[in-house]
Amino acid sequence: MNHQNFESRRELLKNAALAGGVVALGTLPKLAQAAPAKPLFGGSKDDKMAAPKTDEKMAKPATATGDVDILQFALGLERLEQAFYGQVLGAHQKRPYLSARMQQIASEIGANETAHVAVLEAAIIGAGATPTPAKTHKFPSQTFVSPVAFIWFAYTLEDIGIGAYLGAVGAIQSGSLRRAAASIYGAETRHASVLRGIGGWNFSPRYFESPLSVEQMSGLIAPYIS
Amino acid sequence: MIDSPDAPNAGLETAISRRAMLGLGAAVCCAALLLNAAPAQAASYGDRNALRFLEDIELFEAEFFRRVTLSATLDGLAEREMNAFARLAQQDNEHALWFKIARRRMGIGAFERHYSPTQSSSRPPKTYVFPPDAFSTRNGLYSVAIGIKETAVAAYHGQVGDADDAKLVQAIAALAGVEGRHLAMLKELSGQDPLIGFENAMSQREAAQKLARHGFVSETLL
Repeated sequence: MNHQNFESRRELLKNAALAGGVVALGTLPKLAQAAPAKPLFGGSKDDKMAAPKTDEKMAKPATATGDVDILQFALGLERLEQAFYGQVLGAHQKRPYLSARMQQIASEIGANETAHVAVLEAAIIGAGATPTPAKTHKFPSQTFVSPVAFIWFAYTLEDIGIGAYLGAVGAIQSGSLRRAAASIYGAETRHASVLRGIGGWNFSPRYFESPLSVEQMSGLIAPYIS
Repeated sequence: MIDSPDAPNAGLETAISRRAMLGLGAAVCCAALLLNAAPAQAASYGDRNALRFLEDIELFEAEFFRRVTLSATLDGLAEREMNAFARLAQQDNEHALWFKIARRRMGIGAFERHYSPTQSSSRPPKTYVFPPDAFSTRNGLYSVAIGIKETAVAAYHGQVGDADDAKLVQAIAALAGVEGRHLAMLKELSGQDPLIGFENAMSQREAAQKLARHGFVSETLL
C-alpha cells in the first residue's frame, strides 16, 4: 500500500494533480449513477450486478464525466463553504458578534476550505478539465448577527458536505484520488465535530456518517446559490 | 444489584438499567439495519484484509475506552469530558460490533490461521498494555487517547484507498468520519488545535507499528 501522509499542502496538490491525471483516462462512471440514491445499508446483490463492467467503463471517452464530475461537484461545495466563512468573518469585522473562540474557529475553518478549493481546482486542471466558474452565494442574514445561528448553520453546512463526500467516495475508482477526497472529507468531519461541540450539541450524534445522493445534496444547497 | 426497592439507589439503578437496555436495543436495531452494508458475495483479498485489520483496530480502541470509563481518572474530569469519553467508548464498541456483523455477512472468518495443533479455531487472547498514567492522570489520559485516535483515523483513511468494493469503501469512510469527530473532540477538550486541512493516511504496517507498544497485533500482518 502506498503511504500518503498529506502533511504539506504542496504534497497534496501534487498528489491530487497526479490523481487527476488518472481521472483523465475516463474510466469512471458518472457521479449521478454512482452516488447512491439510498444509503449503503440498502444495497443488494442486484445493485452490484447492475454496475458497469470494467471493459465497458474503459470504452467511455475521456470526457467531463466520472471522477471529474465528482471533483467539480466537490469544488462547488467547497466554494460554498469558503464563501460562507469569508462572509461571516467580514460581518464580524464590521460588527463583532462572535466570541474569540468562534472567530478563531471560523478563521481556521475558512482557511481549510480555501486550501480544499485550491486542491480540487488543481486536480481538475490535472485531469485536463477546466474548473467550473464560481457562483455567487447568499446565506441567511441571521448567521451574520447571531452566534447561535452562525454555529447552527455552519455545522449544518459541514454535515451536508460530509454526506456529499461520503455519497461519492465509493464511486471513485482511483485509490489515490479516493484517498485525497477522503482526506478532505476527514477535515470536514473535524469541522463539524468542533462546531457542534462549541454550540453545545452532541459532537458525534451517530456512530455511522450518513451519505447523501446528488439529488438530496443539490436540494439542500440550492437556496444558497444565486 | 438492588436488594430492596427501598434501597437508596434503587431509582438510579433502575434508570441505569433501563438506559442500558435501551442502549442495547438501539445497538441491536442499528446492527440489524447495517446487515445489508456489505454485499453478500465473495470478498476480494483487499476487502477481507481491510475488514479484519480495522476490526482489530476497533477492538483495541473499544478496550482502551472501556477501561477509561471504568478508571478513576474519569471522576476528576469535567462533566463535558466525562460525557465525551462515554460517547467514544459507546461508539467504538458499536463500530467493533458492526465489523463483526459485516465480516460474518461476507463470509469472512475472524482470522485465517489456525493456532492450535488440532487446527481448531482458537487463538491466543489479545492482551493490551497501556501506561498506568492513562488511567490515573488527565494529561496521561489525553496523551494516550489522542495518540490512539490519531493512528486509528489515519489507518481508516489508508484502508479507504485499499478496499475494492464500493459499498465497503463507503462504509469504511463512514466510520472514519466518526473517528475523525472523536479525535477532534479529544483535541478540543485537551486544549490542542482540533482542526486540520487534510486528514492523514497510514498503511496497516505503520499503524500497527505505532500501536505495538500497547500490545496491538493484527493477524493481517503476521
